[in-house]
Amino acid sequence: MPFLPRGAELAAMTERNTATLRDEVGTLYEEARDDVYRYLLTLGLHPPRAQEAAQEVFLRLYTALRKGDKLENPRAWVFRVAHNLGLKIRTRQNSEEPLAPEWGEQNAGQTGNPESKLLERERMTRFHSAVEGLSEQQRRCLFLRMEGLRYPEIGSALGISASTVGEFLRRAMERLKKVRYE
Amino acid sequence: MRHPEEGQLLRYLDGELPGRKARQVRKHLEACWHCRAELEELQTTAGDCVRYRKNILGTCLPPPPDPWQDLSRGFDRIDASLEGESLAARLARAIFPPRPAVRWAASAAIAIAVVCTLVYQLRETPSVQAAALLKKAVAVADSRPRPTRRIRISTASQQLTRVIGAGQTASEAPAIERLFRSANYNWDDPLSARAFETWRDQLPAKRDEVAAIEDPQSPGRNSYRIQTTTDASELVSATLTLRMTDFEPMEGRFEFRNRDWVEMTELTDQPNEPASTVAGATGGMPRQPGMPPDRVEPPAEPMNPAGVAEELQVVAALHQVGADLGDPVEIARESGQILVSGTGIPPQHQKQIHEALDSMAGVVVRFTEPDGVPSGPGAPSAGLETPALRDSAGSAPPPFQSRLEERLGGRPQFERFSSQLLDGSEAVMSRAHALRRLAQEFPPDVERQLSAEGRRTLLDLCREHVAALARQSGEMDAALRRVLISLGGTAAPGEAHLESAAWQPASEELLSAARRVETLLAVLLGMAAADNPADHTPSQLLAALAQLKASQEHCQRLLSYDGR
Repeated sequence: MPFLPRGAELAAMTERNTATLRDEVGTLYEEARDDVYRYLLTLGLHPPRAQEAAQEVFLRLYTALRKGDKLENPRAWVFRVAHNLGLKIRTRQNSEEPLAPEWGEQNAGQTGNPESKLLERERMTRFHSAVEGLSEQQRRCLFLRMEGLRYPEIGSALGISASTVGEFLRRAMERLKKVRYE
Repeated sequence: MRHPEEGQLLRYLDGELPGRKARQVRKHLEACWHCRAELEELQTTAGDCVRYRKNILGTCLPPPPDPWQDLSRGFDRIDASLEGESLAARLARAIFPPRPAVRWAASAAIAIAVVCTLVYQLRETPSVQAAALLKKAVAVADSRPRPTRRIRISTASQQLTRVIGAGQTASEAPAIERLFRSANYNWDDPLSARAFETWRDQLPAKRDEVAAIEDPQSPGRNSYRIQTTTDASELVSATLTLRMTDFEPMEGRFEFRNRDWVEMTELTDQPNEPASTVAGATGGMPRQPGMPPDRVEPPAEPMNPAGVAEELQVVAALHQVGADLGDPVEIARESGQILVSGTGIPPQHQKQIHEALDSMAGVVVRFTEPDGVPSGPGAPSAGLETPALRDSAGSAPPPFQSRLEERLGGRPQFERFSSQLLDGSEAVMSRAHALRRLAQEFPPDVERQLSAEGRRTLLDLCREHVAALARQSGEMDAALRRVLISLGGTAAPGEAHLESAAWQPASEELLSAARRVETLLAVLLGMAAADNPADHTPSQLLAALAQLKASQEHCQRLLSYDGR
């Protein structure tokens, strides 16, 4: 006949559970914090705010899991929360940080001869311009898709339906496809 | 051979198509080179996205300014605060674990955020701020669908049921109405946070009491009870009970100076009851606590005539402000209401949409980024501009490009020409999509449910889209015809097969024709690979333009008054 755990056993179980959660969140933090930070930059946050927010998101994840939330895809959850938090912070900022990559040697650092590097760099410059030219909704869907979120997960983050996500992505890809022929 | 619909290839590539549909597309791809080439293009573009993320976003954006923190301390803090929670709260959570994230998690997040703020306030100040609570409740109510609803009204001598939001003007209880009006309390929607707030705000002297009533067995039944008493009004005491989870008014009690009292309870079922009936003549149970409106069973018939007519009004109003073109603003019918939603809509456009729709009963506009924050300033709009064509840095020019440049007088002229045509094509597509959307929303059987006036409105909308499409495609035709003929294109006699007897299926044909023009135009301008020998493109494009014109004229005929 099964017995209910006694107080000491219960405490030990809770401790084990807590340690596991810490490991899980810690691992995801290591893996995804730079991605989240970058996503927040694309939302227009200043770098220090983006870094604080990224850290905050993982603490919220830990809180949610500690409270017993069952998350099917913690990475998607993290981006959803990051998106919401990022928008809140953005409204408090006096200005929006433009998404302006600093084109240095490193981004042309693909393999190949100088000419192909130059071509790749030009192509990426055009690609960036095309991304900038997308509507806010299209860009948000695209960036979240780039982070590996599925349509329903993107929809949940942005408050739209999965089919609308599909439509935004289609339009974005149409626009980006043209870059190759420019 | 029927090609997959627009957008399906990307969904297929992303694994977002349901199994059966995915199998159909896979089978089609085996047979269709054109679609396979399309798919490869999409894959290449997806590859570009990956490289862009890795090489540009990954290395060219500013790095984190500080070293990443070790989160252990934060974890400790969270553990400590959770340990400090009441046993009841932890038990409640263990017994009623939170649901996994669902589609409407966003809305729930708003409600939860508001609740958290309020709980914080309640704990922080002993005299709870009724004003803040009401303000929040009004804000939440404004963000929700507001269906026609019924309330049960009880007094010492009678009981009746009243419908709110049905546009009823006749007074069903003149004596009670007089009481409320004498107290300057809104009788149009008395069981609402806004009515309570408005009455309360006008009182020069008052005393508030707020109680948070918790039910540890079921947190969904928790509520706030706000009681305001005053000597400065005929209404000397009013009590409003709001459900904690969604701020929905559940009950109200009103006591007047002459010792009359009125109680109100919201009912949830049978939404189409007569406006007012005497006690006992209607069914209806008081709204179950913990059951927010979203979970109310929808009407058995999803397409009741009233809903269709209301939806049409919304469509027409959105059309007035141009919100039916371009990036989609979604319209959904839920429990007899029309929910209009969109995200990242520029503030200016949001304002226009609100102005167009806010006065309509039963229509809710919700621009949700989930926490209600509008899109940031300066966000690029969903414009139809096309990127300027640039040097392709050594790659061989597409087959027609150099010839077009030659004929048009140089590269800049070609770029201008391309831009104009692509703009025109996108405008045509957006009109064709808008028309098809109307066809999907109002198929023939639904259209028949509309009143004569409703049908006229619907047809006017359709006609306007077709007329705009005709204008745009006519301009494209004029710009292209001579160029195409000079490239060797021949205009074959039209062989359009247009058999649709209703405008709804005809709108599908029109969209297909517009799509065909768009595809061939991309080939001509060197933006897509040809699926046939490239030499055929000018003739094919001429034929596609003719087909588009024929489809559009066919639609126009079916939509004309004479044709009905």
